[in-house]
Amino acid sequence: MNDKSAMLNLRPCTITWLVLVGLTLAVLAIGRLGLGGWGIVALLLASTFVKTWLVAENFMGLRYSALRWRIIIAVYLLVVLSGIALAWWVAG
Amino acid sequence: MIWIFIYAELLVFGILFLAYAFARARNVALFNESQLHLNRTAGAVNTLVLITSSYFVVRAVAAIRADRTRACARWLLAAVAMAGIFVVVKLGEYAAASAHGITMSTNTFFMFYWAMTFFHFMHVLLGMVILLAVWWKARHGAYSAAEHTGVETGASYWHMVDMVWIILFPLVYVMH
Repeated sequence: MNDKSAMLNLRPCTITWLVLVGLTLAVLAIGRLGLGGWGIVALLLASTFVKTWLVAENFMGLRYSALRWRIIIAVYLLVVLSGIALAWWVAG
Repeated sequence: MIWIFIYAELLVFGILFLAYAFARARNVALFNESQLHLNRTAGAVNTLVLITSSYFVVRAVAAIRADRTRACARWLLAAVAMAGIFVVVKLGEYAAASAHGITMSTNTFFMFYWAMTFFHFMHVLLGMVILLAVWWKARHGAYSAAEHTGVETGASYWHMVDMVWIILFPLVYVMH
């Protein structure tokens, strides 16, 4: 899917890695503090969406790919994460 | 072809994640109580290890695109080493759970915990084999800036393994 002859711009990938580390440490802090509730669940799901999207776009290189491949990943993440949110809402 | 495989794998994991979430909805107290037995720090360490490993794979791809074969091989080996840390930490978690008598049949939460994390663990092992094979070929000059499909394919698979864990960690270890 990628243009294999293209030189890879490392800067967005390095920034992505730093953001992933930061968000992971934030998730760990939330876990260790035992925080829960709707707001926290929404925050965790939003952070998961950001992390996975960054991996897809910058690590997998989907940002250089045809729109249909990006849409598939975006729809996948939205369906799975919305489904999880729905399950938490059903649980009350 | 690899992308069809990757999307199929993501679909399977997606179904497992949703099954976990809706099974939890039927027994919230049990899932919340069982989750407390998991080592969140180990889960977070493994997340850091996997995302760093993924970043090393990105560096390997960047190196081969610049025709730096030896640097590509070095980054791939570093990625495999990080994957090795994941395996050690995960095996430690499994050993601790087993020592406490926690198995797949303990309850529904642990059935999902073992099934999802072990399924992912098998993907990590397969990913390590793929990265080692790509490393071996890179080391022997099989790839260049003009032709490095193997490196790109191995990298895409490894990022998929990383992506799945990024969802699995907060879902199983943290959210309650």
